[in-house]
Order: sequence, then C-alpha cells, then structure tokens
Amino acid sequence: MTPGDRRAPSRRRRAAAVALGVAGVLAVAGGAVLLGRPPELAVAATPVAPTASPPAAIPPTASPPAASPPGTGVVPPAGTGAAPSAAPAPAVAVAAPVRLAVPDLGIAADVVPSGVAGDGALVLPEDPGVLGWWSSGAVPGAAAGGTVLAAHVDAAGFGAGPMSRLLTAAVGTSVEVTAADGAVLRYTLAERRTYGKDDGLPRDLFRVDGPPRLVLITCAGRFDAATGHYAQNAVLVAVPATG
Amino acid sequence: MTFFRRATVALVAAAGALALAAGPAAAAPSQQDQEWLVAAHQSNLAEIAAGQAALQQATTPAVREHGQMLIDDHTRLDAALTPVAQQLGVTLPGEPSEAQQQALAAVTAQQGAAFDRAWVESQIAGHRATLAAGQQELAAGTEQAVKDLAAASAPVVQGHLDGLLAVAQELGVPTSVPAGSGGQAANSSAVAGLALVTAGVLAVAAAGTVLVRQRRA
Repeated sequence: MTPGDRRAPSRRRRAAAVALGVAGVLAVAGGAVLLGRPPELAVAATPVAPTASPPAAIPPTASPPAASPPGTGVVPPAGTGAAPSAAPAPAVAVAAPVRLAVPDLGIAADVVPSGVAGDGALVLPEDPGVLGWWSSGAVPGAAAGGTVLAAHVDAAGFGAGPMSRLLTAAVGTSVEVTAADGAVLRYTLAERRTYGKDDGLPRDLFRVDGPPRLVLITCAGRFDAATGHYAQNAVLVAVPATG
Repeated sequence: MTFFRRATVALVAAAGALALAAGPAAAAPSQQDQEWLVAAHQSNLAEIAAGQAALQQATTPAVREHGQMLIDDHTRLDAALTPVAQQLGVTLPGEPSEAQQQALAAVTAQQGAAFDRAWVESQIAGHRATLAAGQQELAAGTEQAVKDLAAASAPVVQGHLDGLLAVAQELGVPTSVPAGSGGQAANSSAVAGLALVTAGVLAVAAAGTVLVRQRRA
C-alpha cells in the first residue's frame, strides 16, 4: 500500500466536506431569497376557450343569448318560447341571492347585497366568510346577465375565508346559489382568470345583457403587508348547470 | 291640474266600482289581496317620492328621465288601484312604509354622482321587491280585480327595472374589488426560507468541523 492509497479516504472525506459546505452556502443564500419574498396567493388560469381572446372568453351556454336589451320589457326565461298572452306571464326571477354553497369543498356562506362606493370600489362585507352581491347586476336565475358575488379572500382580524378554498376548485366543480324565494340555482365552474389591480376589472364582467352566468371575484397574487393589499383580482366564471 | 287629476281618479274609481258591481258579489278580499293592495299602494307612493327626489337632485339626464317616468307611471298605477281598494273596503295608508322612507332618506342624503348611483341602486332593489310582491299576488291572490291590477302593473314595473339596470351599467359598475386585507391566504415563504437558512448554516458548520479536524490530523 502506497502513502497515496492511505490518503485517498481522507481526500474523499475532504471533498465531501467541501461539497457539504458549498451546499450549505447555497441553502443559506436560497433561504435568504425566500425570506425576502412577499407572501403570494398563486392562482392558475384555466383557459377553457383557447381560440377566444381573453377579455371575451365568457363561455357560451345552452341558453339563448341576451334575449333583449334592457328597457324592452319582460325577458322570457330560457327555453319557454313565446309566452301565451292570456295566461299569467311566467314568474321572472327577481329574488336576491342569500347563500352560496360548494358542496365538494364544504363551502357554505351567506350572501348580502353590496353597493359601489364613490371611488367605484365594490363595498364588501368585512368578514371574508360573507359574500357581497353586486345588487345592480343580475339576480340568480335571471334570463340574462352576470350575477356577481365577491368576498375578501382574507381579512385582518378574521383570517382566510371560503374564497381562498374556492380558488383551488377544479373546472367542472358544482356551485349552488340559493335565492331569497328559496330557489336553488346550480352552476358549473367554467373558467378562472386573474387581473392586475393596476389595470382595473373589465366592465364585461358586470354585464346584465349577456348569457346568464355566475361571476365570483376575490383577491390573489402578491400580498403587500405594508399596504394590506393583494396585487391581483381572481375571477371565477360559472355557467348554469345543464341537465 | 289638481282638479283634472281628481276628476280622472274619480272617473277611474267609478269605472272600478261599476266593474265590481257588475261581477259576481265580491266576497271579502283575502288577507293576501289586502296585503298586496297596501304594499303596492305604498310602493307607488315610495316610487313617486323617489321620482320627485330625482328631479330635484339628480345630476344625469338618465336619472332625471327615469324619475319623471316613475312619477307618471306610478301615479297612473295608483289611480287604478285606489278605487278597487275602496270598493273592497281596504284602508290604504297615506305614506310609504317606514323602511321605504328610510331608504329614500339615505339616498337623498347623498350629493352629486353619489346620489345618482345610490338612487339607481335603491330603485333597482325597490322595483325587484315590487315585482316579487306582484308575483306573490298572482300566485296566491283570490280577488280577480286585485289580481288584474297586479297583472297590469307587472310589465310597467319590469320595464322600469330593465331601464334602471341599463342606467346602472352607465353609472354604477364597480371598477375595482378590494377583496383581501389580511394576507393569511397568501403562502408566505418565510418558514421555508428560515428552514433553508438554518440547514445551510448547520451544513457549513459540519463541513468546517470536518475540514479543521482533518488538517489537525
């Protein structure tokens, strides 16, 4: 056995120690980067209609499109055809949403009417466990237009709300909305989008004359602890369930 | 004007009385019929008052026009309703309900564009409530003269609602939705970062110890 052979194990040990040291330095550097990164609520987009341009990607439904523009009178419910004039007109949906449920995720939350503040912001309930309904939009079950429900994803003093779980829901998940008259409207989650807060939300989301749909809005993206704001809005679009 | 309106109301009342007298002897109106007559009358009064508020305070032509439309249409609807209630012996209150008065007071406390937005928002809610009450009367009412009133008012109220929703598209669509202030839902990387830093420091320390021991050996 030569002296070189005797030194070989110690050389290997030194190499291993150097490698461990380098890995340790890299870990410290990586950890420091992570420590400096702001908290983030990531939302994966779900392109459902790949050919459509993003702002107009509200998926069509089986129901006829906007039957008539606002101001032209009673819009018949989908699928009824022309109502006979002698019989009383079929009841048009007018009841406010009072509850939202996503049975697959164990979500059940109250819904209250919400208005718009002077700066154009939708005023939501403080508690992330309660959703606000934009009451100048469509009611659930209306023949046309979007029923817009929104809630804080989380709030200081309350913690994270059901919207944080809803953001993880897969396309195809069933969403149920109960109206004040007891009607239960069933929707299927069709699409998930995000919008930078700096760009604002497209008016398109609040239309009352498009196909009927449920629009769920909350916050996502990077959270700035200094201002208490998220960088993005996450929007989930659900369409009336068929069958 | 006042004389003219009184005369019209009297004529409509007489016509209503004749119609009722000509029909089969009217039984006492049901609780539902009575409640709807009172609610529909109070809604007419509330929407006429709201229309007058719009004429005085609105800043946009669309809101003023809708205010005038509410005054005209609900005055007409009420002129048809009042004689039927009289004929059936239902006493009508002279004012909108307490809740309706409070809702209007909250709206008229606003100024400028905020008034217009609040007015439209409040009227949308009011007209939906009126439509729901009318549907209830059509489904559960018993007196045909009352159900006819509910049927006749439905398309007018629906027309108002459609118009109000269209005005809301111009005035009141939310431009932002601030919907998160706690940060609890965001995944913080602080824990992972701290774990990595700790593991790294331990690794460097272990490597250093090995190297120092080897050099001494």
